[in-house]
Amino acid sequence: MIEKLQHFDRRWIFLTLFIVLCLAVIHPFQLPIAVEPFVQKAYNAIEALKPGDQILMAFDYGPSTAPEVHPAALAMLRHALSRGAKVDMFTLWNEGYPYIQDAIDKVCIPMGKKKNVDYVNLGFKWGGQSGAGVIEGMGSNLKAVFPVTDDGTPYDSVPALQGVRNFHDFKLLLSVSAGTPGIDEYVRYANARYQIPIVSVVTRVSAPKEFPYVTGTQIVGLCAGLVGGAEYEELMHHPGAGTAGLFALSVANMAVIAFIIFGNAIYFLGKGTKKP
Amino acid sequence: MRRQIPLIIVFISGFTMMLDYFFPSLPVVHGTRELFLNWSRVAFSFAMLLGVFTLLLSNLKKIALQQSGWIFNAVLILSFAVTFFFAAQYKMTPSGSTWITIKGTQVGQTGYQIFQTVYTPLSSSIFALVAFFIASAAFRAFRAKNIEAVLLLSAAIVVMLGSIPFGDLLFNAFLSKISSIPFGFSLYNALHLSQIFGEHPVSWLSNQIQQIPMLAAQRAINFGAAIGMVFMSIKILTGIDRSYFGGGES
Repeated sequence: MIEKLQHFDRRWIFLTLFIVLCLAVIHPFQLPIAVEPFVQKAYNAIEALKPGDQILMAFDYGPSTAPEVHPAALAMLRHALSRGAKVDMFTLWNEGYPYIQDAIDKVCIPMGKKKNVDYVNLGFKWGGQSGAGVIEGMGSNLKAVFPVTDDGTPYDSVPALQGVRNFHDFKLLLSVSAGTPGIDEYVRYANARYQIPIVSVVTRVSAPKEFPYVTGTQIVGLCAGLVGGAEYEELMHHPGAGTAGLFALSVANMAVIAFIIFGNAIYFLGKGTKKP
Repeated sequence: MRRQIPLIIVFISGFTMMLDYFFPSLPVVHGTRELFLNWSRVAFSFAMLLGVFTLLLSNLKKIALQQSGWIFNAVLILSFAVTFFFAAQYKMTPSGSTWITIKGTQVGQTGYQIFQTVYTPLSSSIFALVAFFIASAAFRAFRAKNIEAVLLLSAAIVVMLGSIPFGDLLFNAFLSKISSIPFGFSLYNALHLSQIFGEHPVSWLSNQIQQIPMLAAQRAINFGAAIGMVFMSIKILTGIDRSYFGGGES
């Protein structure tokens, strides 16, 4: 029996996980959400914005990681706009571009915010693998990097960008990223040189890499993955995709833990039954 | 000269950026830096075009020679052509840009729909498969074979449980169970553990693991990588490392 279990067909594991996840998605339960200190710091940084403050928001992710980071991006955008801040959105990833449009459709338009007045879509700018040329350029002259907005409106004709020259005119940089170029590049080129405070959203797996920056001074708040998004939505009292996905994520985590325990139980039982 | 000119360009542009970082008020250096940054953005745009051109050329060559798996190269070329055709239906006007409309349909929007309905689900699905492989690996490979593995396993389980609300729910349910067992709950209270852990004991422990030993290790890794990056940059700027020329020369 133990020997059979040791050579357990992994397709049963796939099937179990699939069924468990399907059930979790079909019948979700509301779980209590405890807010992590880093998420609270991110919330506080955005809460401190005053009407008219300018913030930059980078959507540096693609479809593979969007389910993890997009909910937090939407929640933060909603929060920033509700504080009356002007949000200038851009991306260094070509895959990130549709998520700016999605954020506009789901947050800016329903909130009655006006394009180029309350928010600006600067679009996609390719800056190479490191994005250094674009980030450094934005630091000294935003207009040189984005001479027109996404819809072709000249920089000088955009009401929201009047008087905005470089990073020094922004209160905050909201970086939602899932790779390179992303948060590491903003810390390196934007914060180190121009001291622009950064609030970051990253995938859960890459969050530990950013902990030294959050406990330091480079990043003022961090939302890690879908859980971070759910926690931010909890703080906003506005449940969204983060809260909705939390139950499925929790169930998947529990399933993996169960598989670890099951695998070890078989391993130890197998050791005990081994013939000398 | 084929080698010297790129080296001179790298040296001058690299040191200009460095000088401007330390002396930002020098107008000549700052102006040159701005110029180099503009050039870099233009160069990157052309590099992207060059990448597309190389991709098409290498795939077309494989199709022409009917190399093994050429059908996949054909699929790539076809997908590229269709997506590019629709996404490029965009026209600039003095008041802004707009999608080109043919017979009342904004054809450029089709490019966006291709992204939303084809690329997004495919990309998400491929990434989602990772969860299944993690589950399988968790069952087969994550074994408590020695003391190091036990430590790793325990830390992983605590961090995984601490990352989701289930962790605290389970632990609190466990506490309420042991309150009925003599000495169990009283020991927990006697050690003032509830005051230390608060309402979210597993999250608390998970945060402690991540913010003390793991943070220390991460800082050390970051610091080591940063020092390595500084020396690598100096080697590239001074022309000692020329591997970026290609061909393995160093």
